[in-house]
This record gives sequence, C-alpha cells and structure tokens, in this order.
Amino acid sequence: MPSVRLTQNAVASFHRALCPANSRSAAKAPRLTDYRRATVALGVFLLVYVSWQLLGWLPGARQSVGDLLVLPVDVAATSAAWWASRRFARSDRLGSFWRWIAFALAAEMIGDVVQAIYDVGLHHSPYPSMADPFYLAFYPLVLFALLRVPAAALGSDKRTKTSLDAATIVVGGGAVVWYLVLGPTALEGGRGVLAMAVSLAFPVGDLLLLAALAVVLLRHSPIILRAPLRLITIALALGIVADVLYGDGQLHGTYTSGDFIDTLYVLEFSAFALAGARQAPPDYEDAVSAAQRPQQLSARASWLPYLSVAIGLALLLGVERRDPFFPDVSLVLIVIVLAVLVAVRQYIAQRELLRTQAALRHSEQVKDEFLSVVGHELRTPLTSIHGSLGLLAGGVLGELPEDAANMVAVALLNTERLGRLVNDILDIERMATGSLVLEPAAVDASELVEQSIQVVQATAGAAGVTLRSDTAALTVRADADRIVQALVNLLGNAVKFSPRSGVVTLTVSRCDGGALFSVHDSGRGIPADRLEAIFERFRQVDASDAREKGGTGLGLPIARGIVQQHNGRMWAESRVGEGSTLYFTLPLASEPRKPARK
Amino acid sequence: MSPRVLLVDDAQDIRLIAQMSLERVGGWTVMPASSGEQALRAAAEEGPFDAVLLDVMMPGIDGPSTLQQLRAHGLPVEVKIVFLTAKAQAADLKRLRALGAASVIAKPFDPLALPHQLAELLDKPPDS
Repeated sequence: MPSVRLTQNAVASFHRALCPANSRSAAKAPRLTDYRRATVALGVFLLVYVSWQLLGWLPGARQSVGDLLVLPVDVAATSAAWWASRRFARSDRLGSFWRWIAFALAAEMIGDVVQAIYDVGLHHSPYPSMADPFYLAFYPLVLFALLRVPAAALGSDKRTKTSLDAATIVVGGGAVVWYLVLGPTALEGGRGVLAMAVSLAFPVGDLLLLAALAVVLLRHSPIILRAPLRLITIALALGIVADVLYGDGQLHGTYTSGDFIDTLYVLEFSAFALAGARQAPPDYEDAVSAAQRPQQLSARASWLPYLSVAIGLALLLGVERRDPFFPDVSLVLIVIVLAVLVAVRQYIAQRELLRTQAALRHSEQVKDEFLSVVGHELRTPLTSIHGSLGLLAGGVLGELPEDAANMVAVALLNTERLGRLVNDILDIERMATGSLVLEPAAVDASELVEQSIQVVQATAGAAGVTLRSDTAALTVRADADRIVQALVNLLGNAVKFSPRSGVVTLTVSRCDGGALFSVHDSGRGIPADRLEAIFERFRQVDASDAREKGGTGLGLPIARGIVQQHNGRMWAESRVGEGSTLYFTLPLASEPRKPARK
Repeated sequence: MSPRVLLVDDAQDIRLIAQMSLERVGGWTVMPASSGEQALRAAAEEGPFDAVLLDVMMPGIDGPSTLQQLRAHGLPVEVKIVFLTAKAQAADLKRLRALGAASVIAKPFDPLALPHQLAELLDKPPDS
C-alpha cells in the first residue's frame, strides 16, 4: 500500500528531524532544514490523506483506513512535543509546557488507538466508549500546559484588560458552541445521561481551552514560544471547529470514523507536530531581551474581542431561521454582554492612555531639569579652567615665555570649544526631548540680521572674510534669541568655509507669504549627495573639519531644529567649487511689531 | 578710590579667579564671601559696596534669596547686583532679571572682560 509506506517515511523523517543521532544535548537547535524536511513529510502525508478523503479510495474500508491514518499524525505530534520539551532544562516552565502538551497528545493518541481497536478489531463502536476518557483527558492536559506558559508580570489595569478580553472571547465563542452543540444536546431527550454528559464535555472543554488560549495570546509570551504558539493556536482553532462539527454530527447520528471532519483533526495534529518541531531551544539573549521589555505596548491580538462581537452579531442575523432552543432574546443578551465588556475595556484603555500621557509629561520635566543640572555641573569646572587660562593668557599674572603662552593659548581655545560643545549638546538634547521652549514675538528681520552679524563680525574679520547683508523690510514671528543663534551658526559656518578675502552674503526676501533667509558663501561647496547629511549631528562633509575648523558638528542640526520649531524649513543648495547657499523660511508676523527686547 | 565689589560664590576656585580678574584687570577692591550668610554679614559690617557679584546656586541661602535679603536689610538700590550663573537658559535669565538684578553674566565668563562688563553696568543709569 503506497500510502502506508509514505506514512512510515513521514514518521521516520520526523524522527530524523527531531532526534539528531546520539545527541541528547538539551540545547541542540533544530536546524531549519530539519524543520523544512518535517514540513515536507507532513505535507506529503496530508496530500495523501486529503486525496483519500476527496477521491474516496478504498470505499469498503473507509472507517478502518480513517482510524489507521490518524495514528501516524498522532505519533508525529506526540513525539514532536516530547522532543520540544527535551530542549529545555527539566525545571524550565517551557519544558514543562511541552511535556504537558505531549501528555495531552499522547492521551489523544491512546484514544485513537482504542477507537481503532473498536472499529477495526471488534467491528463495533459504542458511544460513549473507552476511547472517550482519553479524548476528554486532552482538555485538562492542554489547559494545564497553557497555564505553564510563563508571562511577564501584569499591572492591575492590564490584568483587568486581559480578563475582559478573555471574557469577551469566551462569551463570543460560547455563543457559537451553545448555539450549535451545547444547546441542542442539552435540550435533546431520548439519550442516556452518560452519552449526554460526554457530548457536553467536549464543547465545555473547548470553551475552557479557548479561555486559556485567549489569556496566553493576550499576555506577552516568551519570544521563543511565539512561533510554536502561533501553530498551537491554529491547531486548537482547528480542534475547536472540528469538535463543534463533531458534536453536531454526534447529535444527528451522522458521524462515523473516517468522516471528512477527521481531516480537521488530522490538520490539528499536524499543526501540533509542526509547533513541536518549530520550538527553538532556550536562548539566553532572547530570555534577557524578553525580560527587559515586559510592558511593551502592542496591538497584537487586541482585535480578538472585536471578532467575538462580530461573531455575536453574525449569529444574531442568522438565528431567526433556526431551531427554537435558542431564542432571539438570549442572543440579544449575549451581544449586550459583549458590548458592555468591550466598552469597559475601552474605558480602561483610555484611562491608561491618559495616565501614560501624564507620566510622559512628568518624565519630560524631569529630563529638562536633568539637562539643566548637567549643564550647570559641566559649566562650573569649565568656568574655573577657562578663568585660570584666561588670566594666564591675558598676561594678568605676568608675561609668559613664548612656548608657555602658545600652550596656554591652545588650552584656552579648546576650553572655549568645549564650552560651545556643552551648550550645543544641551540644545540638541532639549530639541530631541521637546523641551526647547520658544517665545515667539513679532520682530524685524533687519534686527535679527544686525544682531547676528555683530556676533560673527570679529571671527569674520580675523578670517579676512567680508560680511554683507541685503534685508527686505519684513516682520517675522520668531524667538529672536533663537533665530539669532541659528543665523550665527549659519554665518559662522559660511565664514569657516570661505577662502580668505571671500564674501559671505546674508539676504532676507519675501517669498510665498513668508520670509526667506539665505546665507551664501563662496567656499568649496557641498557635493550633491551630502546636502542633507550636513544637517545630521556630527556629520561634517570632511571628517577633518571638526579639528581644523573648530566646529562642534552640531551647528547646522541646531539651526535646522530651531527653524523647524518655528514651522520653517531649512535646506542647502550648492555647486562644488562655486560655493553654497543655506536657506530657511520663517512665518511673517500678522500682528503689529512689539518693541524688541535687547 | 577704587570701586568696591562684594563677590559671593561658594566655589573657592571661582572666587579666586573672579577676585584676581577684578583686582588685577579692573583695579577693583574685592570683598569675597563664600555663602549668602557671609554676604549678609559682610554687607552689614564691611560696606558700603558699589556692586554685588552673586552666584545663583549656593547651599544654604541661594543667590536669589541673598538678593532679596540684602535689599530687605537696606542695601541701597544704587548698589547694582549682578548674577553669575552656569544655568544660562533664556527662561533662567528672565527669572533672574525679574528679581531685580542689573545683569546676568553667564559662566564660563571671560576673566579679561568681566571687569569691563561690570564697569559698564555701573556707568549706566539704574533700570526702571
């Protein structure tokens, strides 16, 4: 029989995939190729199984073949879960999780064997039978396994939210199970108490699993369990659908082994087998990174409760035409309960959001305060160094020998640079944390130009660079101190990159309802692919510029940050060899100008 | 007679540097004090002064409180008070001016320029 040989191949391949020869190492990783090989083996088996179902091969032995074909998947799933458990230390909760999953799958396998003995050996299959206790044992065992999944500690709000979500999912799922199986079974007379109890036990078990699974999915499970857990979720979903159909079949007496419903069970166990094969061994780094982000916000699975509401509503639409055991009013109640659950959850989420916002505001204040203190602490020693060196260099304490004077001059220059760097870094940090507060007012563009040129004049003179300005009569809305800072950075930059006897031109003109500032230099220019990079932190066009030109590497990013906070734009245009122009825009003031603060 | 300035800073280094700068570059007479308390005592016992140079962050009575107490203890308004601060955010400067300081000098200050900055202030008529 070709299918049997294929089955054996599949099982053998699975064992090769899962039990590397002579390796009992608990930390042995399943290689991806092994996982792929297992998937292929399973795929081939499923193809055979589905073909058998669809094409109706061996019609005379449908029941027996159906019983027997389930067994290899049982074995694959059970051994995969068992081998997954072996990848962890005995005390590891994940190892324990897989062990209980393996026990559950083994129980199901024994149930299938017993069922096969009834069908194939005894040609008589009662309901309920000795197979049912094993089938039923599956539920508490999987439930127990799911409870072993470790999760990050949850705050009380999160716990409430998770409970609400789980409740919503269970109510929605419960409605379906009740509507299709539980209700009809409970209301149907004429069967033994035992048969009825067993029939009810399956859907109840499914509901419990649904609840446990919802909790596991909504909490943050360990990263290494994510991929297997996705497969287990698929498996359990298939199982629940199969159980509902199976219950419906039992109710109407239409189910026998080998029914098409069995395909769902085969798929369920295939998913379990893949999950086991997919389980990676514990990885220390994963565990650490998982532990470090327990409260990470996530939209994952947050749609699940809404799916339940949708199911409730869909049932409400479809129920009219069905049996009387499920009156409309109970469905309306279910939908109301679902809506209330989701509403409460929404309220909690909203409250949490507000609290997070408040905490964020507080942390911004703390950060601002911290930056202020850091600035103070850095400037205090700088004051002493700068002061001492300044007095020495100024000859206040007597003339220094030439070499000493040179050394002191170098030290003084670098102290000044360090001071600028401290200021610039603090400014950049303030911008990054959003704690740079502007005080915009109406101010004449010419005043801004005048003040900034005044600051840069001495440096320009020393470098032999001429500063020119051409300013239109415009009133802009700006924080004068900050815009002067930005202009000084641009002008300082232009002077630094101008050749001796070069000219730097600052112009202000009106454009598109705003003011356009431009600083043009006749320096070496900026390559086209670096026009944006110059606005990044510590990204001078040439790495040696930082040393030679004495810049902090933060001047342009700060200037752009200031302009952007004014709702303006800053960009650069350049031709290599002919110089560069940096532009920025500022909004015009709509109100009349107030006298500028000096 | 050279102008007299009361210099208040808890950091010994900075007192030393500022004193040297004011005395040797500017020709001032400097009376150093290492705390707000000492400054109040000096103002009472060793006055009169032409100006007070006042650190902002000090243990005990801080700069702004020292300013208020100096004025409360009868330091005449003609005596200009200048803050020295390592917190040079615009908001800080504004707050300090609002307290009635004639000026705020940011640290690190230039020891060669400090006496001139102070002298310029003394020549200016008092603010409103």
